[in-house]
Amino acid sequence: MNLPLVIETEDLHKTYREGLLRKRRQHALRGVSLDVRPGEVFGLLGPNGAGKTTLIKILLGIVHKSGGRASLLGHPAGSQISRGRVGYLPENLRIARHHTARTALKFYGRLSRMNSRAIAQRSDELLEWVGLANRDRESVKGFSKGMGQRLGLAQALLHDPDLLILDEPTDGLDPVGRSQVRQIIQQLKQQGKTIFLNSHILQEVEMICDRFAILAHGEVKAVGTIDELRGTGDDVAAVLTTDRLPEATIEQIKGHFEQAIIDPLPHERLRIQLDPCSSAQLDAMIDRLREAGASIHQIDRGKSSLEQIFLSLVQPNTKGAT
Amino acid sequence: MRPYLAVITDSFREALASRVLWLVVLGIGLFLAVLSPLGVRNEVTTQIKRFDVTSGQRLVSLLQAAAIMPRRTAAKAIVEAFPDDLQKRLRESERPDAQKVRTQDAIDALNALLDNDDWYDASLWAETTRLRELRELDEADESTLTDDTRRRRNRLRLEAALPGVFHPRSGDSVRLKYAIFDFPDAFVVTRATFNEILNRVALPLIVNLLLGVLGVFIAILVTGSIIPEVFQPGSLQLLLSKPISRSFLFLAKFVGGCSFVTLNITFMVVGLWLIVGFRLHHWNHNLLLCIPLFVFLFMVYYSVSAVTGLIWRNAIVSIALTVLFWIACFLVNVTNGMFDEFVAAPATLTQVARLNDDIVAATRNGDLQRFDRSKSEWQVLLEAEFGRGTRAIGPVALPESNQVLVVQTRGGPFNPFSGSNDRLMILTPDEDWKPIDGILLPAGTRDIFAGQDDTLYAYGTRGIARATSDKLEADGKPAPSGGVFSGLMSMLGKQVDGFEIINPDSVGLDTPMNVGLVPGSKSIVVYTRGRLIRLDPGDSNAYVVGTEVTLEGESNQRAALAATSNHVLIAREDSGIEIYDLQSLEKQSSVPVSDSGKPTDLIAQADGGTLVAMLFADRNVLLVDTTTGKLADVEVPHQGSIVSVAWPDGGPMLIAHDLNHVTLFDPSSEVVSDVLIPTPGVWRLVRDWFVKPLHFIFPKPGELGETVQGLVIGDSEIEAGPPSGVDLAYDRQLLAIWPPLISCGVFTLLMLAVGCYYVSRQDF
Repeated sequence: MNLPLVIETEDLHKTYREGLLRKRRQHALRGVSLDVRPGEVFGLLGPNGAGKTTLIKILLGIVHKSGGRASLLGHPAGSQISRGRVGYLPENLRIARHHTARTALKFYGRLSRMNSRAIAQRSDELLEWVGLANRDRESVKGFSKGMGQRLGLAQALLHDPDLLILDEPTDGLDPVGRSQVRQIIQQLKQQGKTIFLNSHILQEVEMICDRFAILAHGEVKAVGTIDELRGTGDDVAAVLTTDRLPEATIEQIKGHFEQAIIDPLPHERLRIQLDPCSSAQLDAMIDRLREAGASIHQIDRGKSSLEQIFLSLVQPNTKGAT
Repeated sequence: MRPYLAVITDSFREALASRVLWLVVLGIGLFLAVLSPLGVRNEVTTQIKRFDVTSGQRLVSLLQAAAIMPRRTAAKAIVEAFPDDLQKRLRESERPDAQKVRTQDAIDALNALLDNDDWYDASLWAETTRLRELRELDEADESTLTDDTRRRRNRLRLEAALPGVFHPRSGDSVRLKYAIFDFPDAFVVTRATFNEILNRVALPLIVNLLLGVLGVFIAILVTGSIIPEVFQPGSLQLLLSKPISRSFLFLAKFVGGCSFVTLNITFMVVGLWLIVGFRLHHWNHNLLLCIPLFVFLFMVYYSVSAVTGLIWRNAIVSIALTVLFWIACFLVNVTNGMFDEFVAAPATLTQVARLNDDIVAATRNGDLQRFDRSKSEWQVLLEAEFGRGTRAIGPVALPESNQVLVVQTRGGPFNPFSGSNDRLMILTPDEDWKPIDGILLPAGTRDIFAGQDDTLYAYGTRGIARATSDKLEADGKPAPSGGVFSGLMSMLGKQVDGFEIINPDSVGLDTPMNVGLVPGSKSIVVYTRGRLIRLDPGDSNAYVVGTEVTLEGESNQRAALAATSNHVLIAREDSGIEIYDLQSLEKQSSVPVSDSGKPTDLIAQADGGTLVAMLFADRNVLLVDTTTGKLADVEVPHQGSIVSVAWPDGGPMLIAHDLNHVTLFDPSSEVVSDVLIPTPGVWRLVRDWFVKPLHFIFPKPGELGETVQGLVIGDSEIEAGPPSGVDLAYDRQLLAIWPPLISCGVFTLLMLAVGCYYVSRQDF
């Protein structure tokens, strides 16, 4: 089945002009192309300043693109039609202090062109769902960060959008709050909602998302499922625990295995990490250690974590550091 | 519209949640609560006030004359009832060491006579001119009169005995009170005066100060954070992600801020309107128009606050820039006003005269000038002393004797009449325009005219005086000392220096008054306190009453007057402009000039034609044909900038315009025969090319005060100078009701357009 894409960008550019005369240029996005399919949870990853928030703002029309193409649900990104079908939870959501949970939902519902009856009905459901039903008439001044995020999620879902864009939804929350938000997202995923998630908490994203895009310096470094990001099944990591080796031997090993990360361990032992590491490379490493007279105490063979993939893409020059 | 209504409603909710709104509401409530016990009680007008007296000098002079007069008159009966000490001071006032009788002493003594009428002698008062109200009270059954009506009758008797001294005041007065406490007598004024003070001073002042200054300032402080608050990260991005237009979001927030202010202004104005209506018994519904007006004024400032708040997203910066804008508007307004006051006004020509080929003119600051064609500039012939409140009467040209006459009087802005020592100054090209001292002008002169055979006429509180051209030069005797006695003689004598009083005794000139000469004749037309009189020359030098009528309408209306060979044109404050037949003084028609208000001056064609020029406060001139009663189809040039008009015998009309330019225009052929334009000085150039253009393009929120005034009084003109009870030739300011609204409206729309453009183009 060939369903239409929910988000589609092609060669998207954004250049900010800065300075008094606006002559200094800051390239935030440099040809970003990606797509998000219906019903999937898509994670957008990247270090600070990578262009993640700029990309989201362009999709929502908050920032104007400098070049390229972007569309949401088949409409130009930023158009009123596309914005009407999107629910958005911004980073550091700030709801005006004169609101209660219920009046805030009423206000944002009206901005989404809902009528009073629909707002009242959806508010009851959502407040119950996000666990704020019994505090719906309290001023948001007294809300914790977690309660605020849950209210933000409720407002994003109020008009039953086709796409949810969540910018750092668990940022600043305690473990319980994070767990609650994760559960809500899982439930939305089960309901078939398309979710576009921006976060820098990689473990969480790894747990929730179907696909990822890794953005660095305004460019997409990789897009795909976690397995696609890891590459072939052969290229998994290997961690070996051996006796301590002379410095000259360590240098020789590093010369042969560029991806090797070697850390000293207590009791005169060493930890050697090869990521990725093919079977032939592992055999070669074992042969070399044996030749050096070192005993191999343990060999762990496993898949690369998302963090490892992320770091390898956004910080390639850190590889091999000891 | 639903999303934008939600934004506006949300602004309201936000305001209601803030303490500031409730503090402002509390403040307004307290102010209204403090004001609400203020009330009035109706009384009968009895007490004489300082401002009831047209001329203090005349009052004292009349009492002094009565004190020394051997014959018993009504005035003498009054003086005899004064305390002995005051009588003695009045009798001995000519002595150099005498203690001067002040106007207030005389007023206090007159007020002391109000409570009893022992001093009244009906036979003496039979010789006086009594108003209808006094006649009715004199004829009324004594037992039906209350104490107040007796006091009122006594006041009218005092006024009748001292003609030409008092402004007419109606019998209805009000006394201010606060809760159960009455204000002192000083706060008792006639109902008409009270309403006038309320409409022209008190209400505009209160609403302008409380709403226009304090209210708007508080509103700017309170609402300054609304837009920056909306455009903070966290709340803004969520708003912008909704399916709404950015521009409309900005405008809705703007309207939301205005709604908050509207609430407060409405509370204040409606409260004030109810208090003034219920407590002061004066329902001025126009006051309610101040609600949209002050919301509009706030919108002007708030548009600046909104756009700066949008750009800098900081409430403090937004408020600071708005206050700076306020100061800039104020400075531009003040600078414009100062240039008007110190550059334009002194140069403005008040009267122009032509002597053969020479054009002479008096300026507002009292200078007499002659136009030097070779240098294209006004040459000052007689300079007024700076800061002495000098005013020129004239100039008047006497072509046969080749003289120009002018009087520089230093009565100050509050005195519409000349003083007791003002001397005619005679200038002639034969003496190279060097001023020659002339005879003394009768004290209390309002204006001078040139009549047939170079006869000079002067009229004022003393009556109508005449002097022939051969007796105008001073006789070389030293000027009188200026003491009270000389003033007294000048005030009362039939022969005043070279002048001769010519009006009959039955025609005293009481304010309001005006006099016009009939062209080609020696007849004179007089308007005085509701009476229109034609005086004709009698057998001897004295004049006799030809015809006299009492005009319909209030007798205390000020008037402008002009006579043609067959008609009299008279413009009164509330009765419009009417044409009367010169002989019968029967009304012929009314002149239809509904839009132009009342004229400041009427100038008849001196050569016996039928046209009369009407000069209005808006500096336009209309010509009316007195035979048809219709406006003449003549396009007078320089409409909108005409400051004075003269129409000498046998020559074109002299039109002074653009402050000090003069155009010679013949209405019959509609030909401009000459234009005198002086080379402008530096300050005039600065005014014309910098201050005025800047003032034109700058928004004028400060001038909305004039719009308020116009709305409250329901008129487009106000008295700009000191009050004049004499005629219509007082300074009038044409209230700029629409220009500030237009300039502020255009500015606000421009600012909002800038805001909408910025918000739609900006990345957030």
